[in-house]
Amino acid sequence: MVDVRLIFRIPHSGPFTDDTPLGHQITGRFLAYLQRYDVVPQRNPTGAQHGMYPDANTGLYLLKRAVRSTGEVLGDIVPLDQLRSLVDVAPRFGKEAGPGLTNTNSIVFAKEFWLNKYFDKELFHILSS
Amino acid sequence: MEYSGNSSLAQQYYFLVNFFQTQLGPGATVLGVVLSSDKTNISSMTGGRSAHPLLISLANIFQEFRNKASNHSYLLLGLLPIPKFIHKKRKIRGMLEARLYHSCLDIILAPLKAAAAIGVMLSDPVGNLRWCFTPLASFIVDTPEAQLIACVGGKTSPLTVANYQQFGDDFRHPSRTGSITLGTINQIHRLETDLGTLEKYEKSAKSYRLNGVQLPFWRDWSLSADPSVFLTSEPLHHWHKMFWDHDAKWCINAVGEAEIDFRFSVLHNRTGYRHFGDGISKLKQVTGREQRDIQRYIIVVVADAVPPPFLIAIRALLDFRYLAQSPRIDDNVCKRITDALRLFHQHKKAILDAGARRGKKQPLDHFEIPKLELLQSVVPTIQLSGPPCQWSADFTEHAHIEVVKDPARSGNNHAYESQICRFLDRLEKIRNFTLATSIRNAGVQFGDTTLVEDEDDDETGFREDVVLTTAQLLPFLWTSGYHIGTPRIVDYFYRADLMKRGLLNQSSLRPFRTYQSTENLVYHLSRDPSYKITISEATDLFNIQDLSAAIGSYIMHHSSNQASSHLDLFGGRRRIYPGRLPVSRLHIWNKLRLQTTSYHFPHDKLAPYTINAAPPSAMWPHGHYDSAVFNIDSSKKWPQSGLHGMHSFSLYFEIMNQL
Repeated sequence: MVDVRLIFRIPHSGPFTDDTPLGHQITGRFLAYLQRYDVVPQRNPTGAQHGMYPDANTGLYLLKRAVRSTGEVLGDIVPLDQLRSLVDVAPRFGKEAGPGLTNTNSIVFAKEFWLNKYFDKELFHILSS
Repeated sequence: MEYSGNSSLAQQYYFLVNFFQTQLGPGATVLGVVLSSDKTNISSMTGGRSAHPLLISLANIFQEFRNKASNHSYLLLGLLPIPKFIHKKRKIRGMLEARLYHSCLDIILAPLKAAAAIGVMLSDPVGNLRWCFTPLASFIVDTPEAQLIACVGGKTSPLTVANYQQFGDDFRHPSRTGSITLGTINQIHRLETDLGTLEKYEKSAKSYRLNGVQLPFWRDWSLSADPSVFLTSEPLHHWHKMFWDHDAKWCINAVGEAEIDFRFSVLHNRTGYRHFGDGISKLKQVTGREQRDIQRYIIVVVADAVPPPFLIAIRALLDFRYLAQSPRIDDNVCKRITDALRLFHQHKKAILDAGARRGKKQPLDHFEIPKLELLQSVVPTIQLSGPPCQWSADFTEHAHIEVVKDPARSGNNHAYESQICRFLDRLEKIRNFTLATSIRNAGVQFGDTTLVEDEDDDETGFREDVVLTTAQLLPFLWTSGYHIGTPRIVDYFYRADLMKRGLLNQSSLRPFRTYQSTENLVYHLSRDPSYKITISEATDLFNIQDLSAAIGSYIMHHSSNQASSHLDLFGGRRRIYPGRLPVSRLHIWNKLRLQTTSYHFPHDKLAPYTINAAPPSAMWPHGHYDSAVFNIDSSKKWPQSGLHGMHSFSLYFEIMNQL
């Protein structure tokens, strides 16, 4: 799961033209700058093993932002044709939601997130089968 | 509208057809009757006039076709009287209304009952005579009407023999079959000696938990005399309304109005989806659509604010509803539906412990909820009648507008019945005329099946424009300008194909603005970018500090890996571009549209949605962007893969090492 921060293309310029394979990779396609979420491993339902399981209570994957060793949020560029689906990532509010939250900043300030499979019936079937 | 032999039909309607067919023997054609009745308000603004329409449709029609309002698949069969009895006791008036309802249906449905018993010769769309039988496949009604049809009294399940004290049980009570109910009615007549007056009859019937009807309309409907079979689960009234009346109220009570409203209000707005800016506790007149929109968010909103078993109980009911709404359900899904309901019953005590189930005055300590008991019958119904979503009252309520409300409002408020009939007659004639002229304009040849048998079974002998089914006919009519009501959803797949073949103005633009990147996905961007700016301007505008480093790394990656166009690495070690970046400007788009196909029916295109990636603005101080799934491992195919091969999974080992 990622946040889609920037959708762009690099216009023809300098050494890259469409007729070379490299030029096609660089200027011939749409690109996206993404910031990644990682799944926080949970105990699996039967044993004590940690792994990529949903949280036992909510049935949802718990996410946190991926960061580089320097602490900055991990972002990278991927061709747009690798996009597969819209998903809903919702902040984990905890016992009480922080009073300063708004609908524009709740996703920015949260530390942990839910991958909300109930957002869409299609997504529900994909993520829970 | 002929769909026999269609494999999709077999999927959804298989058990029922099979059931009927085995009883009828070979040579018979089963026409499953779908009925629906519900009171509806026909006066706009004032007057409070209501009607009680009875609609009819055919279960053989492919469910998605039947349930599209523009296909006019629900017809008005009759308008039932709404009587006002003058007896002073309400109970007696109710009993008389119930008896009248059944008598009216007896009269209206007599021809169908005769056809179910001995069959009737009817011609199919290509002119063959068929011996048809008309059992009742489904009667789509809300809960009070289900009780009325099943002839049970108040606080009694229409589908099983459970009474209200047993509604919270974690197992299904035996079916209330038609013969059980008829047996009980006979028993009343035989054992009770004193039935002389309405009052006495009502009292005896009540002691047997019946509503006092003596002759249920279904008693002599061959193959169909069992309400516990034809009263199919109804998602709109049974599930979504129960969610709002119960599940949502439990959550509001447990979390507190202020907190739950605040949590709803700070969720991220997704373009095209409802956002509850004022929360949910003050909502009035909640529609079915809103009930579904609240379900999207309820788990993430109440997570951590209620005890874990409470959350599991709510989540289990939600899983139950989502699974049971699938358009295609197999044994595995049935098992998961059953498990979900069991999970709820294992954890439901937490809801009572939290004091979240409240009556008007004090907390309740039981689960005597009629709609909860109905959930026990969902899996048995699915196994017999197919996925419940095809029997939803959503579609029949929509049909009310077309067959009752609009016609009633077009008249002069006198003689409703005759004016509605005349209106519908004329409308149908106009529709048939338009259909006939557009079939002629399109030059369609209707298929003659005898032709195929005479020639040596050579399929190539078929002319391409010979049409055998409605599904084949419709595309011809669309191209000849025949419109059947509501516009169809945008088809970016079609557009992407035209684009690739150079048939659109924008085909000269590279890269293509509408592009099908996988079998089941198309993205679409506007022709012109939102911004044409330098990399450093973009870095500031979007507040992405490492943008130029990321672009450099991307170019380096492809310089060394020219063969593969798929990027299978995300966030690995950055490669440093030596020297100055050879690119300086970017074209940036604020959003894109994404269209995918359905998970269960991959040939069905879903309505497209928007993914935003806009820079910070006054309204969105941190930028307005959405989350998505990207594929990393090109050997994995979304959506079958789930999250495998998508971003999260490739990283699982990395996280493990850190722990």
